[in-house]
Amino acid sequence: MASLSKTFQSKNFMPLDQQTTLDLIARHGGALLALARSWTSDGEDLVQEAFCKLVVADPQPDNPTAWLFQVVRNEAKQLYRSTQRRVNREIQVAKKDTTTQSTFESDQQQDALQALDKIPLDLREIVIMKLWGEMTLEEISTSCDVSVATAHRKYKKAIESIQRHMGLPQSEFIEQKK
Amino acid sequence: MKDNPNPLSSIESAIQNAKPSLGPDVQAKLAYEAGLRAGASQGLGRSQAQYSLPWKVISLALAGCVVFLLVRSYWFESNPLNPVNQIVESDGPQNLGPISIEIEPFRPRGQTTVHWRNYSSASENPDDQDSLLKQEQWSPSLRPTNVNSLIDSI
Repeated sequence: MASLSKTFQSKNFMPLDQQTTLDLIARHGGALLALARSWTSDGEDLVQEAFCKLVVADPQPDNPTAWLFQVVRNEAKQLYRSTQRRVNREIQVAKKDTTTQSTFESDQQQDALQALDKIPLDLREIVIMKLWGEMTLEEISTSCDVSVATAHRKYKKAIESIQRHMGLPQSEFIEQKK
Repeated sequence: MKDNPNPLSSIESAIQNAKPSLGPDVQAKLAYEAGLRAGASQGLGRSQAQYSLPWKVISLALAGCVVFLLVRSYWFESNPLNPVNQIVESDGPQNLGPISIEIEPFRPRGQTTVHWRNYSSASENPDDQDSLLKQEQWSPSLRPTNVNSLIDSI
């Protein structure tokens, strides 16, 4: 009987309200899809499943955004490992993708996005979570199961790699931070 | 950023501003699916919260009724300490002389009427009305404990 009751929500369970769900989809849906497609071509299903899980999560996570990014990353990584098929996703996806849309205010944005596609997966996901998911390094370190110092080091390395792919001087990131 | 109070570099800003978004149709699809799941979950939650205990009570009550009926049926129809058919010899009333009476103390299966028969005068035909001394409606309290009083009532 006890195990049976665990399968049901608590009496006070309330699913995530519709407006919050819509806001999260509008704000982070594209970034979540990009994160999922870092690992697998079935990204849209993963994102949809993550939102479906979120609305019925009991209890609701304190930080739904971080929760979504963590769930999508874990599910995508698990799917990737199970299929063991590495697809060079995003450049191909970007060419025929109709589900996401980016508006570029400058060439630099477009160049940066293309450079993001070229950096290693473990670096790219940290950039996506930090800049698009607005997650803290602590949250990223938890999601990626690494230390905060490692997360910070990878993030810095990712930005430098992007600069390098864009043909920018390596010092820019460091100089900007000083 | 909580981790880094410094402003974003131009590269970071460029990446951040290039954040992709879903098309309106995809957003609508996600919202629809999530809404369906939320609705279904809310329904499940309500039923669990409001109806789980009565449902359990009803189930237990029904199970109890079934067990009671089975035990009752077995007890009244098949109790080996009280055989269904019992032949009792009696001196009988003076005008009839000695008789043997088949006592059916408990309800025969599928019947609602209990027959008291004088088998000393019964023919081979079980429907022979001559041997029928008495018939009465079956009831759980029916007990032929006193044969003489039974014969007196004939």
